Amino acid sequence: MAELEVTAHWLAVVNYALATLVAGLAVFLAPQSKIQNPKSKILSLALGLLSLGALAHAAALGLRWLGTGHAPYLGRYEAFSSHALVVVLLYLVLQWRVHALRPGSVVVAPVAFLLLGLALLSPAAPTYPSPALRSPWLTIHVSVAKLALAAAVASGTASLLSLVRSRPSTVDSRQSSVPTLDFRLSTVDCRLWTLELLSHRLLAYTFFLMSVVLLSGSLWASAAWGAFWSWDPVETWSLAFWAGCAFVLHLHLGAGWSGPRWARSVVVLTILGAVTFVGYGHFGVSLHAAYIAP
Amino acid sequence: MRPPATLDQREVALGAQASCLHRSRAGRMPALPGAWRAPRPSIQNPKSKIQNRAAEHRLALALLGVLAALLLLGAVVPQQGTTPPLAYARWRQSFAPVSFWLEAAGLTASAHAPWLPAVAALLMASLGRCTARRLVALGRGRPSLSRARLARLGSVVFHASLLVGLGAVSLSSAMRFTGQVELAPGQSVVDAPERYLTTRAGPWTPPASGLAVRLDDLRLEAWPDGSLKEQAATLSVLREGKLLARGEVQRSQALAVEGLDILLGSGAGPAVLLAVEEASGSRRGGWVHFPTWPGDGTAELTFAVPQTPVRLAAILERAAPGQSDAAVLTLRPLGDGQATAVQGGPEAATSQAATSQAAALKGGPGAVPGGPPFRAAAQPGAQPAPSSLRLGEATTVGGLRLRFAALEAWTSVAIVRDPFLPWAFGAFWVGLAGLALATLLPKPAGRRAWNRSAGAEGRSAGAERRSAGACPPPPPPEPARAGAGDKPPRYRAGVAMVDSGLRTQHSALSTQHSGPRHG
Repeated sequence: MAELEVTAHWLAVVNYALATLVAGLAVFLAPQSKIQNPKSKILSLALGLLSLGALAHAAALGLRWLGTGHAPYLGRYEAFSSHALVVVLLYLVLQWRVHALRPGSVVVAPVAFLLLGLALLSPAAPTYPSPALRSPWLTIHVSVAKLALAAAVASGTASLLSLVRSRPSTVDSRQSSVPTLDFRLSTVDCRLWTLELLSHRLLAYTFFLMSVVLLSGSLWASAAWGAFWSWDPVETWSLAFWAGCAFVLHLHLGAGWSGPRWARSVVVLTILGAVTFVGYGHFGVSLHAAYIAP
Repeated sequence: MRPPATLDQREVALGAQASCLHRSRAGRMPALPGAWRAPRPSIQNPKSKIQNRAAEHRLALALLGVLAALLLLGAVVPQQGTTPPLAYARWRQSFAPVSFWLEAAGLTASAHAPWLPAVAALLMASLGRCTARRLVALGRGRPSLSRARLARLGSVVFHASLLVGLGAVSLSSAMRFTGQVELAPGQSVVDAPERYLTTRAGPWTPPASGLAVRLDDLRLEAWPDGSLKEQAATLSVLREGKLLARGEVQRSQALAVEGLDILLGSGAGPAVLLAVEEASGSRRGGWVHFPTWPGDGTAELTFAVPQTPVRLAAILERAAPGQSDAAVLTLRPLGDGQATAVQGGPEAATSQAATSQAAALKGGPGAVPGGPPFRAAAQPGAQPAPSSLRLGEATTVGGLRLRFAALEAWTSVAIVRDPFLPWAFGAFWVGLAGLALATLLPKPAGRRAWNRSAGAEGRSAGAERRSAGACPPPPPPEPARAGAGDKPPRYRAGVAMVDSGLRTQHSALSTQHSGPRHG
């Protein structure tokens, strides 16, 4: 079963790498008009590869779950791998509903490739869960944290796409200069607006999910460690990310930040989120490291 | 100026009215020109001026930004409490000039730095003022259960709960008391500060309860690699010898009795019951707690037998859970000054009965309870003269007969008194419900509004009654118009997220259009 799991993981890596390549070619080399088209074949190919990778990835983690007897969240190998799968799955669902997000595979595929690469470079020996992990809060805390990371990455992807699309070279000059007499927004504007709205909503979901993560973590820590807050680096990073989400959301709602300025702030926040989930908890000195990075 | 009685602009006005963020910048940049704007609050006296400043979104934004930045710095810079002392000292030396300034700024101890409560207090003041305004604005509108209104209500509930929760957390930090103790089955501890091995307390700790907590049973199981798999205990809580409550406590599941939260700590290990018989014939005994589980012979523990000059070093081998018969205890006498006994611990007069009961359960003849767990710091330079004992065997050291009477397990038990913790968690749960209402409630898509530029001012030219839905197809090329030199009125086509709960008045994605307005 372990060999099958490794094979499925490598199959996922190859698919993610190919998806990165194809999506990169599509976005950076193909004419913009083709990328604007939701039915672009080259983007469909990238998404197909990403979906195949996700299938193989899910199979690998399922086998891992069966083998160890617990959900794949312990140790860098399991944590990074499950992070990558949740990011890819959420993106695939979102791009199915919002076509403007389809070129986002150029961001999501390399993120998944890197995360899975990090996982495969980490020790894969099963880690035994400690008694402190026997809590119903664990399921909520860990699963919602992964979902929050995926929502943050999707929000950052939408913002990155709107940044790329708002460049003058990528906007069809004919569409932007000709007045639309029926007062409808041009296609480019409408897609930019869709991306901005999507990025805002995803960031709001991230904020909500991070609130759940912090609250469930505090309740769990209160029962397991005897203190609901320990100023552990992972806790501090998470609180900073949560405050950052609130800050950027208020910039949009109250201070009127929008367009490229808003998109840039969301991208910076997404990087902060990635560091929160992938950085210190796994590579630094932390109470969380005892559970997630043995 | 009241808006014209059209449905669209009234909704726009309501959306703007509910947002204190909008109100605070009214006058500088009209949110949606042509819409009704609330009058600016009076700033005639300094008090109301301060209150208005406190509610400004710019202040809230600045405070949030400062808080996020300082927290980030606190997460990046090694912290004195959480970083191992040696690693912290090494970092301090390596970054000598910078580390000095960071220490002076309190960034190496963020949790205790004065800037944290200062920023939090300012943020709470701003939040409180803003929430009050939002609440008043929400109450002014016509009561309805529209999704937009529910979203606004959720937002207000979230902000208010955040305020209550932060207040409760502050009080909790000030009044929280945590005592930690190591208990083996049969031992008990009375909730009083002097009875604990370690304590953590805020400045206004509530009085001790005087309740006794007794460990009746401890269940430890190990994984194949020796790490703990299961850690559960049965605890009894007594008041003056009378049983108040009894229940099982797991590693992450506390027992709550009369304001006390009793939980198991991460520490657990083997405990050896050492029966001591003096030359005079008097008998006593006590538990020796080994710090690691399983007892694999790698950790040497030194201790002193109380009220005697005897000092010993002990190594426990092959003491896996449930395999006490295979355990080997090696005792090595130490010279004077080679070990220092650590007094204190859970044993007290009130716990004698319980300890006697535990010793009796072990059934070893001569096993006499009493005395604290013998813990001491290891000292180098001991003279080796070891005696290896199996369970039930005895040796004589310095005129004392020491018998390996029983092998049990000990666990660390934490007792927490925190009257405001339930308030904090309750407020945050309510806040989470409000946030769910504000963010997760499906809302209709935004509608577009058009503003006409007229010098520095603008006027609302109209808004869609329904969402535009999907993006329109690219417009067909249009023939050049006659009279291109004329300057027609300019319309700014923006996206007003009216009714979507987002309350962004118009997006910067809007483009400048020239030409007559249709429809």
